[in-house]
Amino acid sequence: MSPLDLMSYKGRQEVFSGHASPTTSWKRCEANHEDDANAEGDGWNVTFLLTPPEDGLQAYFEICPSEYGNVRPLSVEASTRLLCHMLTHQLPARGLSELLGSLFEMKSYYGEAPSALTSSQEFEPISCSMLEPEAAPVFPVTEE
Amino acid sequence: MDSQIYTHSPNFNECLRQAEIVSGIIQLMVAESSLASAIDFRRPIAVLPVVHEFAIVMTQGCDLVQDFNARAKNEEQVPNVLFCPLPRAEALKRPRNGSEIPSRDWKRIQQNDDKRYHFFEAAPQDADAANEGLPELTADFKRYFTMQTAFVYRQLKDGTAKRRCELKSPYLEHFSFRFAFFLGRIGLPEPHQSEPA
Repeated sequence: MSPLDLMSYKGRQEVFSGHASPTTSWKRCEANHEDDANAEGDGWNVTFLLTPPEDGLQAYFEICPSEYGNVRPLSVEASTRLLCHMLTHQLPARGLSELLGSLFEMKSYYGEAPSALTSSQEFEPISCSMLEPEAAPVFPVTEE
Repeated sequence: MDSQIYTHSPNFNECLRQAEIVSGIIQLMVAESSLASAIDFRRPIAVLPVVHEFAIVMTQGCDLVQDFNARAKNEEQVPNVLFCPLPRAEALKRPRNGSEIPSRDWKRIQQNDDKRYHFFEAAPQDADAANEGLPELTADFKRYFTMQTAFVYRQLKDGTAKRRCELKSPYLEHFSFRFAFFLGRIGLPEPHQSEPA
């Protein structure tokens, strides 16, 4: 499945758990340009439906994780988490088993990485020449 | 006569002690000319062995014990030992440019009233594990260094460095506290001012 397939996909509306709302829409943020109202911004605007459709209510939660000026609306951690939620919700049911397999592989990979990175065996020895030993210098008391 | 201040160090194969004085410890430093090469791992570097006639262990005693026990199981808890070099007091007193240090200034140092320095009286022969006795020494709290713990034990085992003596309580705590106080001092933009009388 290509990423482009996912872009046009509107979410698994048939799946609606008690705690996770499906993504209702996913589109480009509007650009913050006064001279061109139709321009598209850099970020994605994600809309979550907050209530089940059968309730007859229209409550949505919209979030646009793009930067405006120097202000970042979400932390990197929250943005990443949100992206994972978005991608999962956008994924058709037939892709879920593949996603689960990938997640297990990632967990295994990152679970092993720290010990490998901190191992002193990773450092390559370098050649060096030893100079003649010197007595440690003495620094007499000075007025400050 | 037993020294009130010092007791001789244990054997080379026992745990290092806080405020233990060792002699002849060799610190390996990257030579000044090789500093640029030291961060480019493809080029060889020159290493300068610096011999400290005397140095005192500043690392906490309990940390040293835990690390020593861990090493028996091929583990380590204190990768580096903190030392303060201990030059001879007479060398520290020696003027650099011919001008004498005022005797009242030296008296402040010798009485441990100068926060930067710590003076150690001479250690008698029977308090020295090498049975030689130690001269008067002085620590300058602005100067300290660390060494790989395994390398320190290696030098003690090989006899390159020698364990000499350690400070007894409360001289150990007095020394340790003064060092901690010096490191913890707070620089103020301006001192408090007093109105003229």
